Amino acid sequence: MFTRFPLSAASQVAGFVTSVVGLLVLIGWQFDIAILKSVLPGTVSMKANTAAAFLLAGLALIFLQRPSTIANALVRFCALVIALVGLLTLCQYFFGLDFGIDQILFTEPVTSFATSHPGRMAPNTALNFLMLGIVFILFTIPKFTNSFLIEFPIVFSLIITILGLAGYVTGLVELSGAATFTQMAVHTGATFIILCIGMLFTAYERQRAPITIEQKLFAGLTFTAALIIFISVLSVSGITSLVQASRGVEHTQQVMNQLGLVLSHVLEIQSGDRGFLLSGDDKYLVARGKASVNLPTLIDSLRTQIRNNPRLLDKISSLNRLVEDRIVFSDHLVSIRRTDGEEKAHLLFATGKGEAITDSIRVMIAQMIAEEGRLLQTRSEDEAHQANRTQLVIYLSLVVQVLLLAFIFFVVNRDVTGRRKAEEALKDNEQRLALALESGQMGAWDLDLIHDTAVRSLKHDQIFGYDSLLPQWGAEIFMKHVVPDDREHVQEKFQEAFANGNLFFECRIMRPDKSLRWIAAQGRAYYNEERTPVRMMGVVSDITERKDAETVLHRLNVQLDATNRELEAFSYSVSHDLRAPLRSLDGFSQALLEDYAKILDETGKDYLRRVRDASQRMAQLIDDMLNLSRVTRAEMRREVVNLSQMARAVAAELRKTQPERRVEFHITEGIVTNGDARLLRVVMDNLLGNAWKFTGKHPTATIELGMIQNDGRQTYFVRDDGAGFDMKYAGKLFGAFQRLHALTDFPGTGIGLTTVQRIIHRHGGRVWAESNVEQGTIFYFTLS
Amino acid sequence: MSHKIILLVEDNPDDEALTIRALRQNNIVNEIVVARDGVEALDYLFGTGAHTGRDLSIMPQVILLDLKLPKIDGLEVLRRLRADPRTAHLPVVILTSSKEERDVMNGYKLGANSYIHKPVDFIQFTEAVKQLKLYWLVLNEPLPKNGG
Repeated sequence: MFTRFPLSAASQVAGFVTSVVGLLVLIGWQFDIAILKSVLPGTVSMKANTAAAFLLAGLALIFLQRPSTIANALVRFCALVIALVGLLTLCQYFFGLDFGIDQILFTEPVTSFATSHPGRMAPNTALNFLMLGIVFILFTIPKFTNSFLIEFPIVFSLIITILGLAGYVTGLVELSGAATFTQMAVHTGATFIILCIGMLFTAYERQRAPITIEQKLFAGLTFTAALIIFISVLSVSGITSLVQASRGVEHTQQVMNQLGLVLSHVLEIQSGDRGFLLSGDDKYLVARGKASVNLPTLIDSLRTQIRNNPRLLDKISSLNRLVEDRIVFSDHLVSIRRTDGEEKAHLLFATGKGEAITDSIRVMIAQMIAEEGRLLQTRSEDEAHQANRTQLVIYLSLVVQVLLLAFIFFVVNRDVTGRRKAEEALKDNEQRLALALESGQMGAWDLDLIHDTAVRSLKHDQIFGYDSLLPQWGAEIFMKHVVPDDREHVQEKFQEAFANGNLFFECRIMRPDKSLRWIAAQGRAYYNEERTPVRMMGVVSDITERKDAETVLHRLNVQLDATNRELEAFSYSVSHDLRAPLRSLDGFSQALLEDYAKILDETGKDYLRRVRDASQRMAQLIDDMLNLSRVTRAEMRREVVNLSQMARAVAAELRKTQPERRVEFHITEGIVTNGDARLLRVVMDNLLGNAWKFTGKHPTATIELGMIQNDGRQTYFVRDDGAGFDMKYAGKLFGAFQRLHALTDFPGTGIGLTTVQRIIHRHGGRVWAESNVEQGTIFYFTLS
Repeated sequence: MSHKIILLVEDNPDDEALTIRALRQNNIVNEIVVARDGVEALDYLFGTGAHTGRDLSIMPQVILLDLKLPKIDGLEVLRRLRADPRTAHLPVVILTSSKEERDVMNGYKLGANSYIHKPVDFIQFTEAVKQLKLYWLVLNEPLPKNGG
């Protein structure tokens, strides 16, 4: 179905779009137009090198569609530059080098979206250019036909690009490549897709064959595989985020706990102070001392835990100061109690300074816990959102994947079904061919003209008199079987076949048992590019029986010709010589009647009249017989005959013979048929003549010529309303010299209808009659 | 009238008698020369054989020619006399019992002026001869004689 699709034109369009995008972005770099460099604000720009490479790639794709040496050279040049840009960029990434090619065209402004290396294209972009550049070079090598090596890199690039773009859609930078490096720009991805599709079209066009099932499978499975990779990456990244989220929660909890611990330590110090103040007992100072020692470590560990939250870091410094202040105050209080006594200490305690610091610490810690709680909430919300989005993309991809697999199944199934049908059809054809060959008693042969070897069917060798296939066969061996007298003729026929492609000849062969057979061979020559015949295929059949039959037939024909000539001579003689005595009988009887009328009495005259009648009847019989034999022998000349017109002419002649009769002719107009005009005229003469004759005893009569459809065949009829006949005798109707009426009633020789029947039969038709005594007769006839 | 000879080429004596009878019944009184085969007819026309020394300025006004003749048949006679300038313009009426289309065609092709089929019915034959007389003996002026 793709064969009619103008792939080449589509490739050209793709090439044009690619180069225009490249050019536009270059213009964007030249005049610093942000929208051209990065279509989505705040995303990575298409680098100048990328744009230049696209310009060249688009041109290469256009030039590929014009097969000429110059175009080919241009394609190679473009391809080389593209591949080199890709290769060098990749080297820079992997070996940490800088060839200074990144900003060779334009310098990346500092204000632009930060990337790992200013002006350097993304690593996946570079890989794509390397692969596509190599594919372009492969395109320019006409002898390179490995479509896999051409199509795979293109599809691979396509997948890399789609994954890169998917990163934008899902917000997962992992998909666009290594996160620490530059991302592929959105319009770079889009342009790659167009370029890759154009190149795929060119690849298929180059094959000049419909897309094979392997290619369809390859494409379908590659896309499915890409989707699987996509889903896997999404899943992994989803799991990673969830783990991080839970870690975050744990971390927050921990921070909160420790903050609580800080507070309880502070309270411990405060209550220790109070106890010691009232009792002066040192036991109250044990727990307080531990707390004041632990607090700095606790705060230090808190500081490390919340190091990536700057707001909390500020607060923790204040907290630290407050805690230190509180400890200093507490130490001061304890030392006053020891040195100046309870009174003084109470005075200091009553200032409420320690309580105030503790309250500040409490407020500070409450703030920090609230802050941490807020952080926890945002984090969980983010995670939930992220998880939802990931989930949606995974489900969507799964659906697409299932659809894609279903589509692949459908395509493969259809192809397999088609293939099976084709195989069945092929088998059918083979069987039919075998049957045809078998029923035609034909042997098949396939002759390699270069090596003079031939593949044959068993029947082939059997025709040449062998029970099983000979180990060797070829033109030379065949020629040895041809009888020497026929060899030159056969050679000529082969030479003719080499020239015009068609072989047909008949010749005699000598079988190994020395029996002579006639064969007919038929075949066709096949040529290589230089129009040299390299192969011939055909069939051979044993035509000995046909040839024998032909010989017999020929002999019979010669005999028949001789017989016909004799018959003709006989007829000619009959028409001359048989009539002469009758003329004498009639003529001299008349002479007697004229010259001796006075001597003869009535009886004598009557006798002489009877002699004359008999002579004339005999003459009529001779004429009719000659007519009959002429009808049988005469050559048929088929042409278009208008029976209606013919019938009118006959009717007119009949009217002339007896103008006094009142006969109506109903002749259907436009009865046109195919036949021998002269013979059909005899038919019309006879049938209309009979109708005229057998209506002669009626005062008025109607004679009709018409046509009906009978069993889908055109059937003509001649109807009269005359004497008719008894259908009992219908069988005698067409017999020679058979008559159904007395001569005294209706004259005739009984040959007319025989003649009619012969003519109809010679036309491949049929004639029959329906009649009733005194009601008329219908004669029907058909002409094939 | 004595110069107006009719040459009848006919091998069958019965037909000869009947033809002469039919001619006479139609009041044709011309001299009738009968040749009984093709050779005799040609001898008469060209003054050869039995007719050596015949005055060749006297040519028949019409030749009634049968087709089926011994030795040289009627069509051959016709062919030869049409080939000779002395006889090329003589009116020839083929008078035969053959109704074969082939014979009629060949007759006309070789230059016969008319073709009469001899019917068995003598009365019809007499009618046909009457037509012949009207056309060839009365209406048609003979060609000027040679040298005349």
